[in-house]
Amino acid sequence: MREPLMIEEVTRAENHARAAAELVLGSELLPGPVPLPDFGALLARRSWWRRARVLGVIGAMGVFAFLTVSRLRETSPISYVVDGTVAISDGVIDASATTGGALASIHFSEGTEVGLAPGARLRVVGSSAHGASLALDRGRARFAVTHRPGAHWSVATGPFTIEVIGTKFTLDWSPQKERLVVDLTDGSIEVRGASVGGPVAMHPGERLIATAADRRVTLSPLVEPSASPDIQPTSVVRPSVRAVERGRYTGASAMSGRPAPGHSSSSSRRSSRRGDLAMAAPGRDWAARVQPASASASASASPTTTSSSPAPTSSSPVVASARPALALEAAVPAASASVLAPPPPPAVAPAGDSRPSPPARPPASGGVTLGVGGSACERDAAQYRFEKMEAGISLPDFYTLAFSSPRPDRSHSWCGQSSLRVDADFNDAGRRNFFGRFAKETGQVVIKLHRSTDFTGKTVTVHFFVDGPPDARFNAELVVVNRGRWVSGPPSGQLSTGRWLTISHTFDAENEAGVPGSSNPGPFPVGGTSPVSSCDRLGLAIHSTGGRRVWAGAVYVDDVGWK
Amino acid sequence: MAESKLSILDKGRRTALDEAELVAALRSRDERAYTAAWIELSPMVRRLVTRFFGVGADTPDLSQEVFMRLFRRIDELRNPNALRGFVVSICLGVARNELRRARVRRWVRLTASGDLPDAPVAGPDLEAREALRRLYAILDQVSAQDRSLFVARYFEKMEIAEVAVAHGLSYGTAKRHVTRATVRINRRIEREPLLARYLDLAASQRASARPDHQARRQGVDDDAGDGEVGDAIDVLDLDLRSDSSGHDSKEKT
Repeated sequence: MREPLMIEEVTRAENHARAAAELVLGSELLPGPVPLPDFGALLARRSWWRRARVLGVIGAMGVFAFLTVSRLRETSPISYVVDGTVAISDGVIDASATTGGALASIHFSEGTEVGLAPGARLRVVGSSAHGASLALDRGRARFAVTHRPGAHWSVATGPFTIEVIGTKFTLDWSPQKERLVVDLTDGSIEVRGASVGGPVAMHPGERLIATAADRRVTLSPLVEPSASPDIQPTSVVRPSVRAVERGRYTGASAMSGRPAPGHSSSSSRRSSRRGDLAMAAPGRDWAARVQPASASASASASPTTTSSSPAPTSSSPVVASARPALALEAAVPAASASVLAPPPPPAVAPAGDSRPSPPARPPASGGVTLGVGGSACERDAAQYRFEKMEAGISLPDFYTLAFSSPRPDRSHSWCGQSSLRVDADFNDAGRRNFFGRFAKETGQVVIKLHRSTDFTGKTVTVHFFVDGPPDARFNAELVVVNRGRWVSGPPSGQLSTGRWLTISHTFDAENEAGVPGSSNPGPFPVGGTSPVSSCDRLGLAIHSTGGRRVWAGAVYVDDVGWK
Repeated sequence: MAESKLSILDKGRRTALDEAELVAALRSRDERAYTAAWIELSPMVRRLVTRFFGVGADTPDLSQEVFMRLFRRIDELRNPNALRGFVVSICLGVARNELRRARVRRWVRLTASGDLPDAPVAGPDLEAREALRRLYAILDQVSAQDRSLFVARYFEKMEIAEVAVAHGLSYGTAKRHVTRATVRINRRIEREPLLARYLDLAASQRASARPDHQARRQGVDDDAGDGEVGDAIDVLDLDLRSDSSGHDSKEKT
């Protein structure tokens, strides 16, 4: 609100102002003496303060600029420069034109280097301040990812995804064969994908070969870090990994990742036809011990593996290697870390040597392993979870007598709070039965299914934990019974105690039955094939195979399911 | 030339330096010129500071600050003969800044009551002292710019042109601002009956004591100094909101 000033008001105000001035001036005192300031010193001091203030302001601006630039660098996506003869279009870097052995290089702004072999094609799907998402469409690429806090790199290859933090590794993806080869030389990565199941953590010096077509994953020691299987001599048979255990490599000489003589490529392909390996990693240090495909449960597949297979009781490696592959997952419980150390090499028992070893007590470790399955429990809902005593649990009363006293147990579980426990007492006492086994050499848990089930095309998975002396060795075998005919997956390789293991097998419409070396008699000795369309039982057999022939312990079975 | 007079100063002889010579000496950064400037100008500065803040203000420190600024900014003075006006403008600037700082200190309650401490005032009688205290209490409430204009115009008796130069304003702007500041302060005075009555009485005594020809002369001087005040006032608008808040929204630093 504004109003015009009135003359009277202004005049009165001026009169008051003059009177006020008289009042002030009339009250004024004569100024007293004031000492002369030392202006020279004051100016010098103020000049110093001004300089200091200017420097402070400059410093603050510098810090602000640094922080701003750092912030911008943190928030701005990383960029890259491509070096080499490549075709680039919309983030697709195609090294098809690259000739010779020269690698095309991609230099990312934060230091990561990617080398593309001739013929490889890489796509930069996206980038952020913390990393980039890449896709290897084909070919071989070498990655050296700079480790930074919060870095997030991922490489997609076909159905697989490799999550990277900071590492050096080589990828080789063949779209035609749908095969991925990962050679990890430094750092750690996780491989995910439909056929891999949960994330597979890789450690330095490991090679992972995953085939999407047959959903087969093998993890082996990296013998030749720089070599891809594609460039290996054709005469060398690709190693077939049969079982993976958490622990440490048992040593290069004992590693079964070497190609097995006599293991033909055709049989290898056949053996990998339906195998499946689902590996859950509860975050423990682990490594793999690799068994050749021919090293079956009874170590009968390959004569050359007898040094690591202490119970050579069978005779036909050809038949064994022709069986579908079966894979195992092993999770070391936290309470049994002592068994992480490499187990002592089992004594090689000569064939037919049934001299009993000293009785062994189960390790005191025992401990409690609950919910080891972790996130896998949310993903895979099992039909039998053993949270309570399930109906239809039985133990055979002939041929396989190592197990006794089935009961619920709340000290071990894969998922949930409990599992099925059976006492195990393995020895070679008595006479061999008609298929060459001692009665207490094998134990078997059989579940009578609630209804007749068609397992054709289904993958059956059983999780189990064997508590026993650390030098005990055994194999495992998954079996379903179709109209009285026992159809099993191939026995696993050498397994050891003190850890959770997962056995799975995918059944075909027609499955080989009565395989020699199997723990299941029927339809032995008829053999042949059998469907699995009308199964009423499902079982898990544990066969003691190591040099220790007498040992006692317990077996915990949990989360039996199929899908 | 300035050197010779400064040399005389060294010998303890008091001599008058004209402003141009003093400015030249100050620009040469001669420490003796600082002393000469202090001797020549400090009474004016201290008086102005005292009138601005009232008796009891920290005049030595403020005066020192005025001279420090003068020595630092002496090169900005374009007309060497306008040194005193330059010093007055610096002094008013320092006073305004000090007033604003004092208000910030009061705002953050650096005093126990939240008010500025009362300054001791001297005066002939108790009534005058009380009027003076209330006058400065009112001046504490108006904006620094209004106070500066009021002090310069009435306490220092500066012409409008000098007020304009000292405040960095044009003549017309300075005239309008002085008028507005005067009216705003007077409205506050009117709300203080004791002070208003005292000032009315003083004004009437002043008018009665002044001979008629002097009164007429004063009116002519006023008209000559201020121009056609009445004409100018007719076209002025006053923002009552700024008056009520005690701050001029167009205040310049």
